[in-house]
Amino acid sequence: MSALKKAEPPRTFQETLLRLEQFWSDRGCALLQPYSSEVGAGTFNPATFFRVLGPEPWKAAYVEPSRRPKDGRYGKNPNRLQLFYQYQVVLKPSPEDVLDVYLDSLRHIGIDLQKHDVRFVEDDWESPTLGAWGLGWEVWLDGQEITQFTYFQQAGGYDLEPITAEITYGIERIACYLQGVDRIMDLQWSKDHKWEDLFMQSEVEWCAYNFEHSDPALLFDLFEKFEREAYRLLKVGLVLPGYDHVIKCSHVFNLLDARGAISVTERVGMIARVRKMARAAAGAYLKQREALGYPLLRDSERAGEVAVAARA
Amino acid sequence: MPESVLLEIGCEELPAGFIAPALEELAQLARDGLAGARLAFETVRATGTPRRLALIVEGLADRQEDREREVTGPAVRVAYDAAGKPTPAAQGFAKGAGVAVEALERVTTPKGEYLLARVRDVGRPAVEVLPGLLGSWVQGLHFPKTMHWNGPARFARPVRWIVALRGGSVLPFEALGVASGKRTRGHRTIAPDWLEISRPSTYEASLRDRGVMIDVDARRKAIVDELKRATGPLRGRAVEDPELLDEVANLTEWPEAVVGSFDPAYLKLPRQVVVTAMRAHQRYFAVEGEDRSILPHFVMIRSGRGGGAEEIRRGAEIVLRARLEDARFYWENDLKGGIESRLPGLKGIVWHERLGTVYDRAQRLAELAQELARPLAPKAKEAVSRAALLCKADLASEMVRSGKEFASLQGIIGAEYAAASGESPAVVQAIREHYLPEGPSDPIPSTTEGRLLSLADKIEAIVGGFRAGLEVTGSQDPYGLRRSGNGIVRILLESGWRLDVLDAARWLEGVFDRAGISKGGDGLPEFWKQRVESALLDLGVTREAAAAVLAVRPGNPVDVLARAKAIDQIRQSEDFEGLMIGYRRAANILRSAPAEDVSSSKQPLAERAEAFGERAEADLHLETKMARQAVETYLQANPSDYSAALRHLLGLRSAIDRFFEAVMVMVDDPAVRRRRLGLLEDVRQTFLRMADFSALPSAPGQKSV
Repeated sequence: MSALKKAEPPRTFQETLLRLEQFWSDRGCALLQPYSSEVGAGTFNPATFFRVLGPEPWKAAYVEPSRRPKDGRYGKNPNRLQLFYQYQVVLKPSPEDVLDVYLDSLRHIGIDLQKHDVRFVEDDWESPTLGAWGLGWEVWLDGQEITQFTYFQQAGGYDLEPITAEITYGIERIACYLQGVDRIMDLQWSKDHKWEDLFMQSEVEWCAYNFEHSDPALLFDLFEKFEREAYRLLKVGLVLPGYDHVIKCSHVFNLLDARGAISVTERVGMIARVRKMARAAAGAYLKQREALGYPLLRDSERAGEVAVAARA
Repeated sequence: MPESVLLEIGCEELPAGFIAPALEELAQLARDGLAGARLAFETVRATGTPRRLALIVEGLADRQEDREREVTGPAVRVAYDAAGKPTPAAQGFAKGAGVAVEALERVTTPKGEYLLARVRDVGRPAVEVLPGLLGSWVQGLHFPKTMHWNGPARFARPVRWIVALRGGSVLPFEALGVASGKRTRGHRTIAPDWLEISRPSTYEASLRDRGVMIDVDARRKAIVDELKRATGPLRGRAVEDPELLDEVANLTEWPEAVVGSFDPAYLKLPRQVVVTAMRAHQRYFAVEGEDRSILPHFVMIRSGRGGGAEEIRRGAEIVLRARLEDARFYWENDLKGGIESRLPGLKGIVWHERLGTVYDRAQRLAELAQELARPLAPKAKEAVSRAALLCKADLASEMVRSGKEFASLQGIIGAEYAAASGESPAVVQAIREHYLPEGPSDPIPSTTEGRLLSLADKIEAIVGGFRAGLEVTGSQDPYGLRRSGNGIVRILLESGWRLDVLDAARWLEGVFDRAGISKGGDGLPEFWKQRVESALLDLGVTREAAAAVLAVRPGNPVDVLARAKAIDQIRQSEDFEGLMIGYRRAANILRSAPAEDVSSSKQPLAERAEAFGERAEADLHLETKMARQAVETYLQANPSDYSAALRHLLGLRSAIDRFFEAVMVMVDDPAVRRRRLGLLEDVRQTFLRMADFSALPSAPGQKSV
């Protein structure tokens, strides 16, 4: 790709994605695909939630379709959707020049930083359902939040070391910006299609399902059953299938919440139940990786790990 | 030769609110550290931006000052042998202290004679001492929240470089996993590269060239100037907002204004909603015209300079439009059906699991507000009970519930909805103001209805909080109970309203009981006393007088304050101290007497003097009776005249003194003993009508701090 071409903003949503993929691929990330279960954010993907735990290094990037049933507006609000896309990058350990690299990625997708106002505004991120938190920023581009940047400190209730930097791009917003449109619906997805052509019907149908037609009795029942299944599987050492059921519980909870079927007190209780499951899954994962001898550790790091273990 | 020293801690963007406190701490660490290290200096200055905390010391001495110390050694008896020659003990001590054995002196202490060495510490060069000091300051900073980024270091955000220079040379050390050097970085987008600082004196100018205005005050001033420059052509001015100004100054390294506009149709929304949409998330300044009406413009302060203003304006306008659009969406939805239609929604909002929903709470508030209005402002009863019912309705509105940044407008939103639903101005204003005062610098509500409702809201929160078992300890203030307590005291004192809050609380306990909400702990009276005490101390009452008056009827702050002031005034007089000597003696005797012997002589008070064995007893009885009647009269006056009451108590001095001169109290004859104890108890009870005087220390007028 020539330097000239880089400076030109991408014309379509998919080109923006391709540029991000290329950028992070060039920086050694494993490019993964979205997870195959409904999640509220890329953080739920085991490629983040599990990989931030323990000593093994990790660099990955992926698109995550993120479902937030409550945020849907039947496609009528220009920038609120019940399903949007995140571009998630995790870098562990967090490199020293991570913010410079991030700014480079913005240049790479065609944002001339000299002509814009980029700001890192304090934001303490927390996921009560995952028992995870971190410190970092909302990144503003001319007042618009385009990225969530977090140094993970805890996940599943476990302290993290080394620390992972998590970069979550709000790609619809960035693309709107690059294409100069105000509504996500007007985004040029590919050369021939706008977002509206591809997803409007889906958005409207899912909103109708989320707000009007989902079956709370069934969902409450599923929550109970998924929860039991999660613990049963974790107990027999099936960490990933067990965690999948934690994700399912979380999504079912979000559906019930959107439906207005959960009272305020129930809400707190259910969040605590998901967090407890997430913690159990995180604990099981840590044990499993230790038993496997931390396969992703490189030899140099392994020496360090042994030293750390000896100290502890 | 004195030199300048520069320390710069280079960070990833620090939270705006952390910067000022960190700079203050850094300057303090430096001043204390240099003084402790005997390094003289002219000035210490700490300043910074989100990306750097800087310390500049001017005129720092090139070596530590010399110092002479006295060190005590072993006892003389073990220091020399029979021949008078120094023993190994003396030799070892001299060696350790770095002086010759012959130079040792002797010092006489209560424990005997000991060796003494005069040690002269020759000051070390500053360059040897400074690296360690600077490193300890970097590591000595505290933040409300810290994080790891790599290894064990903790800081508010990752530290990426440290500049440490004395004149043109690096002061080498390592802190937080970073080695000090000369290299710093310019503004993230204007001049992102590394650059070397050659010496402290060129630091500010070098950064300025690279888009960094290092000084906080300079940035704040630049913003004020920029706001003027930007709003001038709009025939308006930025809405004054010191808090926002401070924050924005610490969100930028180089502030520059960009003006944007929005569709005037959004001005139909309440002013606070429009201003909040701009400030809360976006940190934009709202613009008002000469008549203070909001104009459809805003000022965004960017961090940067030069090109791109047009692109930035466009982006900023799009974001603001989305936020205003959200607000309009909530506003229009909420107005359908009027404010009353929101009330059922409160049934779904749990206030506290043991205290029910916000709906239940609003019902209690309406009852309590009426009860408070009855004695304080009967005419306000109707309006205040209506306002109480509606005051929490906005918590069920879309604007407050879903709007996030608008949640801070609770009360104000409710007032707007009430007004739009045709409620009376008194009701609207009471709803608007009922959270006031939230902090010590907030005003109290301006209207009678607002004050009554605020009192009800706060008293209910406290009584409920204690029922629910909330604990107010140290820095913990669950549900803002302490703040509520302070608010109640201020409203009552500033309104001059005589309300016994503990009586009102007891009344409210009945309401909770009837609702079947179980009782909680009994910490409320103690909590209340502390709130009143802190208000009294703020008003200049001495701690002793506060303790004395709060031991008796602490519920009514206006009354408590009047008593405390009267006591502080009279405590200065000599007569009062004389009276206290007698009073304390009486109180001590009563305290040590068997409880069954002590009972007030009860009345009728018409007995003849002959009923008493001694003249002094009869006198004391009579004088006490008269004082008691006078005190009651002054207490019942409206308002109570505590100074006059105290003057009558002073009159008891000679009767008490004569009593103690003439009679023994603890005599064998039980009838006489009980009679005399009864007299003293009458005296004590009379004093207790005003305060527990035994809480006053014996020396008068000594204000303790």
